[in-house]
Amino acid sequence: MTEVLMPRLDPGMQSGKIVEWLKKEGETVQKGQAIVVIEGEKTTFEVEAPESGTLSRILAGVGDDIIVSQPIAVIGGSEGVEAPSQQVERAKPQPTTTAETPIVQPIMSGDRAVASPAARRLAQEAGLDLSRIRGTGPGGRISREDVLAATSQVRPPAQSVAVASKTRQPRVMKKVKMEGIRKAVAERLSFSARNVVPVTFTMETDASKLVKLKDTERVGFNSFAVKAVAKALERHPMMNSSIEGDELTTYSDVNVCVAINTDQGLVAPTIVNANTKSLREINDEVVMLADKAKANRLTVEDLTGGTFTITNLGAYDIDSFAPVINPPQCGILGLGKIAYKPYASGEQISTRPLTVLTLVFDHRIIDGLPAAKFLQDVKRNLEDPESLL
Amino acid sequence: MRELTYADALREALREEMLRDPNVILLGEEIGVFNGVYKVTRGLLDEFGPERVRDTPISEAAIAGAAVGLALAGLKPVAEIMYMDFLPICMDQLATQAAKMRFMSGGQLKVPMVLRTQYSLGRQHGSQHSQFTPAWFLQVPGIKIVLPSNPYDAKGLLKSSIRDPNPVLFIESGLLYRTKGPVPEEEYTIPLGQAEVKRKGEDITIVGISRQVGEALSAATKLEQSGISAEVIDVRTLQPLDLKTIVESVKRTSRLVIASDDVKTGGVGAEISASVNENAFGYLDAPIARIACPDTPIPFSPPLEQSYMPNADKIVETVKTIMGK
Repeated sequence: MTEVLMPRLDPGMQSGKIVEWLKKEGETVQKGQAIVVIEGEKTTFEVEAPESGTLSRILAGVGDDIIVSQPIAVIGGSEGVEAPSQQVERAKPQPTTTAETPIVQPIMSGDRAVASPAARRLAQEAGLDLSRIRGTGPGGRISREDVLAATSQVRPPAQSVAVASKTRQPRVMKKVKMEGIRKAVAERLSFSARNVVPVTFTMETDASKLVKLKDTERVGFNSFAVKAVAKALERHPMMNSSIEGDELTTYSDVNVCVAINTDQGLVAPTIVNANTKSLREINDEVVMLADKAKANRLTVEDLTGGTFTITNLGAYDIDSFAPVINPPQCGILGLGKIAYKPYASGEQISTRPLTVLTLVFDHRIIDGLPAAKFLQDVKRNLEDPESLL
Repeated sequence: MRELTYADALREALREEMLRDPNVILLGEEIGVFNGVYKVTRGLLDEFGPERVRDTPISEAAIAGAAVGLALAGLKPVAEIMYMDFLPICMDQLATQAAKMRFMSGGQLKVPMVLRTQYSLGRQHGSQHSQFTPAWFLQVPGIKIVLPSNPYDAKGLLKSSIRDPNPVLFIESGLLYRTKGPVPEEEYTIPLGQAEVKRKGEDITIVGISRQVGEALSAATKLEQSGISAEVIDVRTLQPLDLKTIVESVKRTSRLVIASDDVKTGGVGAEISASVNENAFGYLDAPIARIACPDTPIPFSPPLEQSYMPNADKIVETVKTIMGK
């Protein structure tokens, strides 16, 4: 008998949500066969059967959020061994205060959260999901105070003498709970906005050679950019760093993330060791990752380990933009559109395809001058794209 | 303010109403020559004479039946039944006659009688002389049920009961007769159907009935030492019940316990609990709890009776349990 556990696919993953069971209870499964689809923080992935046998018991239903390393299914021997009674621990948010709160009994999968009527009413009014609130009442019951703590709102003060005039509310088309990629994006960007000290540099770049080479080599602009950045990062390791608490980590791997928009939202898969790969290899990988992203089949491995990010909105007529740093990375490069513009060379004015590189970097890690030198290198690499071949 | 015992406050109410209205007459066992078993009618025979203060034979059915007849004939009888345990003997007169006359006659008849009685739980009077059974009468629309918890209320509520044009069951607590409390000398009455918030609190509402109001107040003092702020409400009357005051309180505190001296199953606590559920469900943060007597006859043995009775400690314990403290 073997338990199938909720896997941890990156160090930050706390829990995973069951999207779909590909096998039913009682069905025979082969080792390595995908049996369940899980949505983690960053992507959706398939979990494979660790052993061959009968899927004797499914312990978590679709939609359940299960803590990492908790069993989600049992694979019995071919005889169909009796599964032990199991309690699956669902994901619960970490308490936001340091106040000591009793540990809640693990809730059986499928059970309704135990909450008082008052807690239910308040949670509904606040639009909160009770299954995400920790109960501190008798028997783990969610009380009114627990919901109030969850909304981190105190009761509004008594109305003063003047009665507030009626406010206008826009009509709601729909409300969707933030989860999956949208939630991960929101959390990461909020973290970035709270903690990073961003500085923005822009640099106009001559893309004449790039435009020609792009067509003859049949390699996308992003791939050139990955290579140009990777080479520059080799020379400027401080830009290839991350910060955590009071510790700076500089990486020997140069792993460049490329932001890709999908129907599910923004993802940034990683080109590992981009500095050691040829432009063609990089291009193949960018294409492959984009296809995977659009099919929603990126693995957590694809999405982790990046040390710098490139994002490109040139195809959408954006001239230039300052993106938000993808924490804990030090820098991000925003690429605008390439367009023919007047270009002065000495006293001569001609038109050339130009683009603006926008570097946003974390000033806590690196100062302005070395960052400028880094961007200069990127620019030179892109203006001399043959050096990237 | 001067202090009177619960019994003397009742006696004042009777006397004042007899002076005020010559139609008010008293009848019951031992109320005249013997001055009443609990001395509530002390001196009234001497003052008002045997026409208005009638000693009766030992027949509760006759007392209740005579009271119904006297009331129908235009008098305002205040009948006394020595123990609440004897009310079943009067049940036909109360439930079938007194409660129905006004309704069945389309308002042509009325039965302005008061039936005073008391319950002796805690006085070692045994299973047949100690019961507190107001819930029986909750099933009889047409009878008001009044339960004073202190001397002030005893006087004010009895005066209102006598003036009320409907039959009133006025239930006194035997254990409270000798307790004292402030009673003003000037005239006052307390309307029927108005609960009183005896103590303000934030965390839990304790509804007390009759003697349990005092226990609830002691419990609230003890709970305060544990950091729990309890609101105490005296219902004063069960029919009509001032549900509004209770519901408003529960909406603030979000918790409710009900303390009463009756048997728990099918008792007044069950009725109040159900009504609060119907009216404040979304505000409840804990299950409503009842503190009442176990479902057994009342033991005579003093230690057993003490352990049988609800008290402040049991209220404290229950409050802490439902609050998870």
